[in-house]
Amino acid sequence: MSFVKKLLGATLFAATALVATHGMAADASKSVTIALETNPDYLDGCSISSSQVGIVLRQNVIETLTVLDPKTGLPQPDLATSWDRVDDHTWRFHLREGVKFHDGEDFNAQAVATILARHFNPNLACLDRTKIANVKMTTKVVDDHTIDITTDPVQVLLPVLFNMVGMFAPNTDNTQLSRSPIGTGPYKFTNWDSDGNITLDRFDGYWGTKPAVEEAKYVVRPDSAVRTAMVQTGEADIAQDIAAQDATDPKMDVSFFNTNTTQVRIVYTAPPLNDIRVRKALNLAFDRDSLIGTILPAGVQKATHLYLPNINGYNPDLKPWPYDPDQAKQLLAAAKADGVPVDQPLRLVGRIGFYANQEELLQAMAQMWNAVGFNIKVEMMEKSQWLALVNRPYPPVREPMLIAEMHDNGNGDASFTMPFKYHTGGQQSDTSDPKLDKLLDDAAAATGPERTKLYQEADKMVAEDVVPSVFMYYMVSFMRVGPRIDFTPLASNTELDLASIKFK
Amino acid sequence: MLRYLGKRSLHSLVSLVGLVVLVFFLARLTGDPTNLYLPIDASPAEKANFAQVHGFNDPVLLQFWHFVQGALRLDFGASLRYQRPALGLVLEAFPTTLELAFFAMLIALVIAIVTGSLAAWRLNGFFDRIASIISLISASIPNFWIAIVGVLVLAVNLRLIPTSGTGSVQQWILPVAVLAIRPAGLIVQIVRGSMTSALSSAYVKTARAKGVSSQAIIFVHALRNAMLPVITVAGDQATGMVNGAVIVETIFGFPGIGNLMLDAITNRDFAVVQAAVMVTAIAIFILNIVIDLCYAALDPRIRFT
Amino acid sequence: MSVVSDVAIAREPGAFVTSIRLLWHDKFAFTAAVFLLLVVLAAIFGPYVVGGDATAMNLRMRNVPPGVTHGWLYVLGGDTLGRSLLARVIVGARTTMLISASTVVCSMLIGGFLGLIAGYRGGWFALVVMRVADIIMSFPSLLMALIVLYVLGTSVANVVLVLAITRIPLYLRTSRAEVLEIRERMFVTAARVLGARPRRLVWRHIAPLVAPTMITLATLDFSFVMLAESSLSFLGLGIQPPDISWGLMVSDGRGYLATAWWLSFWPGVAITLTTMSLNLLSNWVRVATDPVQRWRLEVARKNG
Repeated sequence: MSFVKKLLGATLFAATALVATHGMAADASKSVTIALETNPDYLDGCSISSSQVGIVLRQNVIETLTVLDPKTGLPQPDLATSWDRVDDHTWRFHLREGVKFHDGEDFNAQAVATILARHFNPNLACLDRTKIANVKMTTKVVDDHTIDITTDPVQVLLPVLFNMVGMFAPNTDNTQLSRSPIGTGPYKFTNWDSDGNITLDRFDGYWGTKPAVEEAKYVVRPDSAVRTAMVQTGEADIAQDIAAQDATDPKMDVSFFNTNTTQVRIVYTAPPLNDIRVRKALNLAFDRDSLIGTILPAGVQKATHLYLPNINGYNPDLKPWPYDPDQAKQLLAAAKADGVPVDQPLRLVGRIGFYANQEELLQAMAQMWNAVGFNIKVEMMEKSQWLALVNRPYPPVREPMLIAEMHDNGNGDASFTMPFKYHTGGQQSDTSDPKLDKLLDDAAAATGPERTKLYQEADKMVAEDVVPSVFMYYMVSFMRVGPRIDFTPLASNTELDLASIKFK
Repeated sequence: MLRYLGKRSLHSLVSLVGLVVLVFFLARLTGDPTNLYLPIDASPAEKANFAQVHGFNDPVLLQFWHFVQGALRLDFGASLRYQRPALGLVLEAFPTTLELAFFAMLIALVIAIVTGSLAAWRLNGFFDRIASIISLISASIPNFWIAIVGVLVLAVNLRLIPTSGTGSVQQWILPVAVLAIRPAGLIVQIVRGSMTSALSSAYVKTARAKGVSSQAIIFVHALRNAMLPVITVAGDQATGMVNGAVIVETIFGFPGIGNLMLDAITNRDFAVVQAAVMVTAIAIFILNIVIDLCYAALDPRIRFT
Repeated sequence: MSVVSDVAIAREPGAFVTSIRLLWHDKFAFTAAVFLLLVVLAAIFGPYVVGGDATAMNLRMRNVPPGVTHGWLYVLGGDTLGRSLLARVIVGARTTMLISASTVVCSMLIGGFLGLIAGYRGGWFALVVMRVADIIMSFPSLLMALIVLYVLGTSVANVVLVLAITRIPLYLRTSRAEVLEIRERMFVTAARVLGARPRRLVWRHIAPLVAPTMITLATLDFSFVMLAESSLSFLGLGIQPPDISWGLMVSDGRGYLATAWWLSFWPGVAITLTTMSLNLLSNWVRVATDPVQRWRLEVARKNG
């Protein structure tokens, strides 16, 4: 055979071999592969409220004292079996017996005390601390499985708060954030390699029911189309957080509320926005329905609060604003007659990359508003600049403007949203209404049905009398689940329960 | 030549120092990273603490002094984001990008030199036209487009190769190909241009007139003289690959330095930015020295004053 | 009687007509020139003719595929807000051309000039210039863009500034490399011996030899700049909606490649065709201005 023929033959053979060895056999193992969007920065059980960390660790490797019931938002037992209030400032938690950490240590009251101390270590940037940062907490070990926690100020919702506090091993290094977490969960951390792949293996000493999945591998693929394609080719079993336009297969793709609510905050420190008629006009001129199923996916819902219906404090009597451009025009005309400069140029500020299609959404809204007489221009900013506008301390001169925001409350109670957003001096608040402040203060101190009622009153006041914003939508996320497994995602972007995955 | 090398290295060192100083001060003009690392509802006390711990409240010159002290020990500080030494992160990520860039550049150069020379050999002929059109398309296609279409067609529809990842040889085919396409297209045009000039020059005509029968000899000589702009452009493309690889790294899940640097810049992770810039700068400076040496090797008339 | 014949020698046609004739003899270059003319017309008149169609939202037409069912405006399809892709490509020509042309011309002239001097004179000047070029090459362009954003603010001029700075080293190094080789050639030595001053040498003799490579690079750099400009938009620097540019349209369509490929495709085609046309035209100019090669165009070729 001539040299050329041999060369051609060899090349053909090599090409075929290369292509053919690419995996074709079905994966019969009990291992699942999950394609994530971003690589977690670290894997420490003191930051499970961060979605990047939580999605790998929460309830898989690291558990919490309590978990929230997804429908009612009320705390349920997990690592704590029961709790009661000893006095105003002190709660007593009874801990579950027979629980061991992955490194063999016992889970007991002393461990909890060490864990809480680490959470408050000022040299560690533990993200879970931020919700309880202003609380002074002291612990007292009553016995091996009972611990008293005293707080100053009074924390009515301490059991709810503890659904955010991860119980990592007391042996965890106290000088830096961990990259190899140890917890009590059904899976133990095995490896995190230099390519960013994380491996979790089933923990045989787990206190609860043994899950079906033996091993979980997390791989990172920032591009949504590639993530989605991986499930299609069988390279992955779950593609987390895919873009709406990639979720084209109804058999594999599922959407769920991700606890995020979008709104446009109105900064009404000066005319024209400080006139309530103008703010009402903004709400009336916005055709919320027209954007559902078009720019936004079909599953989103019009929002009446800045949190979802399952949060304590939700007022079911409040209805979304109707779309009434004529009334909006009337309101604007009336305001204009009183000298309010309704067509003053205003900025609608968005944050680049915040959520999918945000920029088109804001363009559409601006167009709708300009159609009734406003003069609004969209301005997209990068994250750092946007944060400076959104958080206190504000710049000394705060011009009237509109800021697109998204708020996340997966913690079961309105107190995680309302004071922050609506109280005078609240860190993301532009509102200063003494009546509202009183309601919010009273509600925060109350318990039970009284608390719910007070928050509902506050919601009503916000929606009808204060109108500090234009509520938009309860947002959804999409996930692709491969045909090999049976899995229904939780309504959350910060948790992916491996234990609930079953093989078909 | 050794003297030249010594002098060049010294000058490059000066550039390096200048670069690092420039990056240090200018990067800090882009704002305070505190807000980016703490959750949105962190209290002002938390933020103050964070700024204190990382030295953002110190005057800039003091921060610079600390940085220099650390740099001399090869400690560039810890990444705000990953809480690990910045230099370590960079040295982990750099080889991946280097490998990608190396293979891509190799393939691009081989294809481009062959194609461009053949195109110039028969100027405006059929092969030239086709090669020009294909190379121009290659040079102007957005690389994420080829990447994603490649994944969709080759991996999803035809199941010929895996979609992404770094483990096996098959997983490298598409990323390297995508990275090579633009430089290949660009360099074909450069080769074509300079080969045309070389082939029509006096000595080639003389050689032909004297009856040198081997086309190959003429070809090789003309090629050698045409290489100067080619290696310059190739060098520029290679250095551009560090940044250009970001898209390929993102799409195919390669943990390379492009990705690292992009994240670090958008998240104001100054330590990583500084370490990454320094490491890539050293590589770029070395490459430029090599290219300058190549000039001298290719054309003995060249001297550097 | 005079020896010279009385037959009048036909006057040679003027330069313009000659150029057209030479252009016509290279069909590819001619098509390229026509296309570029269309682009320029679109840039000048586009916004007046289809400006409204390019910006008016129409959610019913969202992501409409290319076809003839919705009228000629939607023949290339509709974008994510239902706007006519054809109108947007036409209107986008202006901003795209403005930014890209400014960037490429600036960086080519500045880089080429500096490289010319650095290559010829050597010495301290070359040293400083080359090391500064090294620094620019290693300075991450994204960081540079962010710094400009924070210090100088957002404007089209600043986008051009950032992009031009990042492209200068390429032209600088290439022109220096060429000059290093050319200055050793026989004719340069001859000219110098004859007493030509350096300035004359550089401008009259060396620069015209460097120019063709510069121009080839510039035409190919066009596409890179058109696409790079869109990557700055994701920082909030540069083109912001409702302004349109081809690069921005291409990167906006990235998430839709599997479902609405036309969003990225048509502006990408526009970029590619513009690059090709510029390049073909520049190749033609190269041949037409080179007395040695010019014959290829003067004779009408059957397959030219």
